[in-house]
Amino acid sequence: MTTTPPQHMLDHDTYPELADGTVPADQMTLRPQNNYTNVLVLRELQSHAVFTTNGQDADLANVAVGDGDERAEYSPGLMFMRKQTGSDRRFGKALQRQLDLFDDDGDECTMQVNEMCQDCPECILYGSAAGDDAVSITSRVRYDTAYSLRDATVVVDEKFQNAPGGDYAKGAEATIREPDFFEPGTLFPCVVTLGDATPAELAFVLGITRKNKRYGAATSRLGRTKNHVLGVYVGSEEGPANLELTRDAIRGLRDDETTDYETIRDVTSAENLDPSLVGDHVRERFESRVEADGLDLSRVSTETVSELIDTATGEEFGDVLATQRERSREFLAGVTE
Amino acid sequence: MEVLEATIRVRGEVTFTSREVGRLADTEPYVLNTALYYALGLAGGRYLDTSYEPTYLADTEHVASELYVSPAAPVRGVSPRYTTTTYNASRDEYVVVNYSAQEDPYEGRNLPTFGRRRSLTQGTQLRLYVVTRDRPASAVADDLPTYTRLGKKRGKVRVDLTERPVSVATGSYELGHPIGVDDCGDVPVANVATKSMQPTPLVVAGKYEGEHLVIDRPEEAPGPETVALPRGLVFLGERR
Repeated sequence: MTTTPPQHMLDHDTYPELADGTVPADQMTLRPQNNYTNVLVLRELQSHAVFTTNGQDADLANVAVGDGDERAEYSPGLMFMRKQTGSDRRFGKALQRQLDLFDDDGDECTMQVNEMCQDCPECILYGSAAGDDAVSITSRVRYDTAYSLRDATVVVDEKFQNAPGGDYAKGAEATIREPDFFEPGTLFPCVVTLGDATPAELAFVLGITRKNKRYGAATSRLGRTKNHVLGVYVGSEEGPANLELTRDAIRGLRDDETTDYETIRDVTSAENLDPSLVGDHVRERFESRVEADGLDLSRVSTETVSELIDTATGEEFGDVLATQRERSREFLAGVTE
Repeated sequence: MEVLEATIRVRGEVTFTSREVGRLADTEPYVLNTALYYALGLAGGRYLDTSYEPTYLADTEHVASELYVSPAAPVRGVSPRYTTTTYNASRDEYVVVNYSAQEDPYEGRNLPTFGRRRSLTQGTQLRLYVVTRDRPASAVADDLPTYTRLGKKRGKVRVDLTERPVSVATGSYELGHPIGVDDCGDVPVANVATKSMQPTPLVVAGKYEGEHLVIDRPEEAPGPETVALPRGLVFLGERR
């Protein structure tokens, strides 16, 4: 194993801000210790995407948004949490392969249930079911179902699909479908929460979030998504849920003087929303809700976040992951022996 | 002795495998206190499991005498809301062999790769009570999280707490909120209704005799005006 020291040391000495929400790599814990890192993300669809559970109908919910004078209901499109986890996990595994993490030992890791290696940073962070070694690992990354800011009537469109094949059809065939597609420009405010993660694991998740661009069904052809990282918050508890955040952001957009929106319905049925404006509102509302609920969370500076993202998306991140892998293995060995 | 009334509001999807029918897993709108002690941060749990044996008793030893957390049940008047989703644990290889049922090398192993599950979704409200003994309720409330995770896939929920006045009375009473079968030594005298759940069944209704707590609730709050609970509630007390 080559041991070139990583250029950026990802520890609490370099980033003292992270001390409240992460654990040092050599002090990974078996039992939860309430170190939380909340990553605030705005997911923006850049092409059509398919989020259905039956292959046909878009996932929808009914949500009441209201305060005092104005109450309204709307039907947001949903991005279930597992649609986010699944895609991010596959991307994380691919990233590890690309960074040559498995080169020396050929110990490849797979997404197949019960056949994960349970030995790489991804398995140990995201968790895995019992394999042959009868060890199961709980995920320390938590996602939450995301709700679109606008109503399904504007973000979902039915598209006619016809797959006739080369021959003229001789009989009735099930080649015609009209699945629901989410329109480009749909925005999903999201919080990803890490529990007792190390700074390198946080960087790993930030790198995945920054680089992963495909969500939903048929991702080899559609589902392109841009994840805007709006902020990172550390502390001893979890931040607000996506549902609250989305409702609050809708109200924020309505109250914003610089927009033409006057009612909640104006926002939820808008033709389009500006991602950077929405991002500002989501960030602002996250912070005001943290304050209103009295949550113990503090914002990590933008410089630190962009440094972590730069590290995680850079060439030398392979070294960081390799170091993390050693630590993860020591932790695993300490527990299972 | 003081009582905190907690309302759990589901924010995402909360899945428990309460019942499995073929490839469908269904979630009942009840959450056992075996899960709630962990979700509320009162017990530890482990990130890595090698023993596959529940450790409820050991994990809650330090809080069991200090307070009691009841199971959660639907708030009266607010019906639980459900969503049914299909899951598909797809692999990430570019080429996948689709074996026929006869030739599948994984045939003998239980590896569910797809199925459907019915989960509780946003709009669902569940209620639970926290009975504190030595510590004041407000101090306990400060320690409980505002947001936490529940269920198989760790769905996000919000927890709102209200202190309720409580008094002790003696005589016969109807159980006002579900409790675990092993949480109380008193035996119901009539009208018993239980709910079979894993790892402990629930007593959802029953007529009891003896000392009990009467929780007073304001008229405008959804639910009954008073809720009666047995006095000597200890989490899994009958197994300790």
